[in-house]
Amino acid sequence: MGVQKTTKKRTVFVLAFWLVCIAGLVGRLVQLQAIAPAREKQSNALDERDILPRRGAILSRAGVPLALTIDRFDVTANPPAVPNRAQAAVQLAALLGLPKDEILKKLSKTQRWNPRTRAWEKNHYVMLKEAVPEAVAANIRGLLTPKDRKTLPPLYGIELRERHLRYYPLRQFAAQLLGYLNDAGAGVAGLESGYDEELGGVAGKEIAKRDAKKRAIPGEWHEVIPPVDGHDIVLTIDDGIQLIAERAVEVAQRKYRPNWMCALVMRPRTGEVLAMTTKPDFDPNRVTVQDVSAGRTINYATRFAYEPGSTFKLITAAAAVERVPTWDVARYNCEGVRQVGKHSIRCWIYWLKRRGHGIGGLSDAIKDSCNLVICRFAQEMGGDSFLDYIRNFGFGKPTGVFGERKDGRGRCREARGIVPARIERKDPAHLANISFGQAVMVTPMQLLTAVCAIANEGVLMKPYLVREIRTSEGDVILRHRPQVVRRVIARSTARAVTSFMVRCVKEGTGKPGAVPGYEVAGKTGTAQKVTKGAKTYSGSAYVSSFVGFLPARRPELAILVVADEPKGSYYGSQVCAPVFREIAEKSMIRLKMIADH
Amino acid sequence: MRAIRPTPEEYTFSYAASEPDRPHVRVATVRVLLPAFDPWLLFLVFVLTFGGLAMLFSASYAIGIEQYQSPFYFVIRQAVWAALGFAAMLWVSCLDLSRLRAWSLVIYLGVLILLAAVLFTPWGMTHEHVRRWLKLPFLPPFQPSELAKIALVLVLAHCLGLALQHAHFSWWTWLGVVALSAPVVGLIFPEPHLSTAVLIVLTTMVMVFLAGAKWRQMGLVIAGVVVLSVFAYSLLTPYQRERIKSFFIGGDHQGSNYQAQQSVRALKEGGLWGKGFCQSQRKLFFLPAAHTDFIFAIIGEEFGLAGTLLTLSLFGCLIFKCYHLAHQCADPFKSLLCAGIGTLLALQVLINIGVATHLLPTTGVPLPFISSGGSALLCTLLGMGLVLNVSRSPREWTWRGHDEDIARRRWHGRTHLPGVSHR
Ligand SMILES: [Zn+2]
Repeated sequence: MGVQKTTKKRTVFVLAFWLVCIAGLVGRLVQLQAIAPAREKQSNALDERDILPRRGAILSRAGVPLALTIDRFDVTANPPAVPNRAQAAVQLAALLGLPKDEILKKLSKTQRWNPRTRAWEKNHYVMLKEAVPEAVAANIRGLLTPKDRKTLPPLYGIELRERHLRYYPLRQFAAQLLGYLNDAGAGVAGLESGYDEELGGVAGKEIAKRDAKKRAIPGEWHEVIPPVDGHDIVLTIDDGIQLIAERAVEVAQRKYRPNWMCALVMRPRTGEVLAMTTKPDFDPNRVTVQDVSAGRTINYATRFAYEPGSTFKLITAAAAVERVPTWDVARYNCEGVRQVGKHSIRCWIYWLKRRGHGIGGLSDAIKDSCNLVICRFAQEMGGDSFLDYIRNFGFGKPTGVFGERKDGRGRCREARGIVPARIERKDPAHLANISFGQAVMVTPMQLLTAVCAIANEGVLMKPYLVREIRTSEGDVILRHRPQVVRRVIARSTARAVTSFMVRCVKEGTGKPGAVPGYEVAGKTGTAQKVTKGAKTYSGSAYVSSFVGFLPARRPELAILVVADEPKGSYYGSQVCAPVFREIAEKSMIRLKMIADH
Repeated sequence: MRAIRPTPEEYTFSYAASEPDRPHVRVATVRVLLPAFDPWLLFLVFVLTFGGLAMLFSASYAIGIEQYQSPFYFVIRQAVWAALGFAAMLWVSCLDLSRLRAWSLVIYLGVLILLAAVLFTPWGMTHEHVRRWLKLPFLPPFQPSELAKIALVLVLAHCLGLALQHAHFSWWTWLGVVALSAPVVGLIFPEPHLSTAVLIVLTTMVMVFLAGAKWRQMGLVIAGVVVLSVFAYSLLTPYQRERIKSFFIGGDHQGSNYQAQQSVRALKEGGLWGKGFCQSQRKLFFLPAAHTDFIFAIIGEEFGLAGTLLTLSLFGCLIFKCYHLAHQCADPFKSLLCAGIGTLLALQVLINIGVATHLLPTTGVPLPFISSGGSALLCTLLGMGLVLNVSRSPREWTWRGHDEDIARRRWHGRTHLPGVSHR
C-alpha cells in the first residue's frame, strides 16, 4: 500500500503547514499586543459634554419679560434605525404639521457622503423639525416608549433633543437695545452681547465613557457637573413709556420716512433711561440678513454720531451764561448773512425770507434758534473755555449708559462723537460753526445726557440702563444707583438756560412741542448733513431733532427725538416736536399712574 | 491512551471471543457503551465550547440589549445549540462508522437538496440581501451550508478512501472529486456565500492532496481553479468585490476596512493581559459583528495576548489532534475524515484570526466554537463527533473495499471487521 505512505507523509506536511501558519498568527498577535499598543492605550478617553445653562431673562423695570428662554425640542431621526419609514412619516406628518413626502425623503437619507474619507457612510442624523413646543414633544414621546419588551415603539429611531430657545415675547419692542443671539446661542448685539457673561451662565459638564452610539456606558465613570443658569437683568426701561415712544416714533417714521428715527426718554434727576427706541426695527426672534445689511439692528441712539445743529445751542448758551458776564444785557444784530473770516455764515431764516432776525439777546437766540447771535456769544467767551464746557457736558466720550465691564471697557459699543481738540485760531468760522452745532459730532445719548444736566440744575448724572442683576434664584447681586458725574454749570445757569428753553416752546420755534398742562422746556434742531464724498453741507439732507424736558421747574422726563434725513419736511419743529409732545404727554400720564399705585 | 484504545489484537480477541454466528455489529455496540474517546480531544472541545459561550456573552450582551432588550439573547440561543450539538456529537461519535460510510452518499445528496431548497424554495430565508438560511419549524433558521462542509468531507473521505485502496490516483479520481464538490460550491456560491465556497474548495484541495494526488496533477488543477476563480470574480456582486478590493487597495468602502481597523485597535488596547472579562469597549458598537466574525478581537481586548495565545493554542492542539489521529489511522477513510475535519477547522481558525489581525481581507468566516451562530456550532460539534468516533478505534478498518464485499457477496454493505489475517 504505497498510497498509505504518501498520505502519512502528506498528513505530516499539511499539519506542519498549519502549525507554521499558527506561528505566523502568534507573531502577528505579539506584534499587535505586546509591541505596538503603547500608543493607543488612551484611546477610550472620557467623553466630555457640555450641559447648556439656561440663559437669564431681560426684564423691564416693572418685571415684564423682554427676552426669555423657553424649552423647545428638536425632532431628529436616525434613518437606518427606523423600521417602517412610510408609517413613521405618516405619523410624524400629522404630529409635526409637515408634508408627508418631505419627512419620508428625510427618513430615507440613510447614506451620507463623507468628504474627508471620500466615501459613503451610514447617516445617523437628520433634523426633522426644530424647536417644537412641549405639547407636540409629549405626543412624540408617547410614541417613543415601548409598550412591551417584544415590539418596537411606533416611532423607533426618532429622537427628541431638548434645547433652549431665546424668545422675545414683545417682538420688535426695544429690539436694537436688547440685541439678539447667533446660532450658537451667544449674544451678538445690544444687551444680549454686552451682558453675555451674566446672562449666559456657566455651562455644566457631563463626563462619561460612551459607546459608539454616544450613550453613557452603565457602570462606567459618569459625572455630572450641573450648569449655573444665567442671571436675570432688570432694566431701567419702563415698558409703558417705551411702548408710547415706539408708537409715536413709528407713526412719524411712516409719515416722514427718515432713514431712521430714534427717541430717548430719561429721568433727569437719576440718569435712568426710561425708553430707547429706533425705527425701522426688526424682530429679534427672526433676524434676517436683510435686517442686518439694512442697518435695522443698529442702535442709533448710541451708535450714531451726527452734527446736532441747533440743539447744541443750549450748550453754547449755558457756557455763555457762565462766561459772558454781560449775557443778560448784551444784544447783537442778526443780518441774515455775515462774513466770518473767509466764510459767510447764514442764519436759517435767510434761506426762507432773505433777511435776518434783527437785534436780539441770548434768550432770543435760543427762542428763534438764531445762528448769528449765538455765534457772537461764543466769540465773546472764547474758544478754549467753550471747549471745556463741551467736554464737561460729556461730549467726545462714551456715556457709559450700558455699564462697564470689570476692566473698564464699555459693555456695548458706543460712538464717541467728535469734539475738536482745539479751535482753529486762523479760522473764526470754526468757532462760529461749533456754537450752532456744526463741526462737532454727538450721539443722541450724549446730547440728552447733557440736556439732563441742564434739567438737573447743572449736575451731570451718569446715564444707566441696567437697574439690577439677579441670580436665577432671585438674589440681587448688583444694583445700580444714580451716579453723579460732576457739576457742569451753576444752578442759576441751569435755571437761566431752562427759562430760554421754556420761552422757545412758548413763543419760538419749539411751539409744536408744547404739552397742555405742563411748562415744557425744549429746543428744536435742524442740522445740515455733509453728503457722502462731498466736503460741503448738503442743501437737502438734514438731521432733525427736538430735545426737551418737563415740567420745566421740576423735570420728571427728558426726551430727545432724532430723525435722519426726513422726507417732505426737515424742520425739527415739524418732524420731531410733535413726536416729543406725544411721548411727553402720554408719559406724564403713565408716570402719574405709577405714582398713584 | 494506548491503554484505553484497543489494539487490533484485542479486537481480534474480542471478535474471536464472541459467538461466531452473531453479527459483528453487536460487538461494536457493546464497545460503544464503554466509549473509548481520546480524552484530550473531548476536553479541548469542552473547553472551547464553554469558554466560547462565556466569551460570547461578553461580546453580545450589548447588542442583545440594543436589539432584543435582553443581554442573554444570543448566549441563551447559543447554549441551546451547544446542548443540541453535544447530543449530536455524542450520537455521531457512537455511530458505526462503516454504516455511516455506506450512507455518506445519501447524506451528501440530502444536503444538496437542502442547499437547493435554500435557493429555490420559499423555505429559504433572505436576510440583508443574502439567502443562506432555511426556515425550520420550532427552531431558529438553519444554515445548510455549514452541514454541507461536513457532508462533503465525509463523502470525499469515503470516495478517496476507495480510490486509495486502488493505489492509483488517476484523472478519473479527479473527475469524481470535482463531480462531488462542484454541486456544493455551485449551490453555495450564488447565495452568495463566497467565504464558505472558498473554504470548501480549499478543503477539497487539501483532501485530494492528502489522498495522494500527483504533484503535476495538483499543479494543473490549481491553475485551473485560479482561472475559474478569476472567472468567478467577474460574477461577484459589487459588494463582494469592494471587500476584496478594499483590502488590496486600501480604500474604505462600506466600512469593511473600518471593521478591520477597529479589530486591530481592540487587539492593541488589550495589550498583554487585557482589560478583564466584559470590559471591552470596542464591542459597544465601535466594532461591528463583535459577537460573530470579530469575536477574536474581543477576546484580545478583554484577555490580552495571554487570552489570544491561549485560544490559538487550544485550536492548535485540536488541529494537531485531528491530524495526529489521521496519521495514526490505518484506514484511509478514517485518516481522510480526520484530516478533512481538521482542515476545515484549521482553515476557519486561520482565516478568522487572519481577518481579525488584518492579515486577510474582511470575509465572514466565523470562529469555530466561539462565534455566535447556531448552525455553525452544531456542525462543528458534529465534525468533532466524527473525529471522536475515529479516536475510539483509529487502527480499525471500516471497509475492506467494494471488490472484497462483492467477492464475498456482501451486497448489503455491512461492516466487515478485519482481522490480522487479512493484512
Ligand atoms: Zn438769526
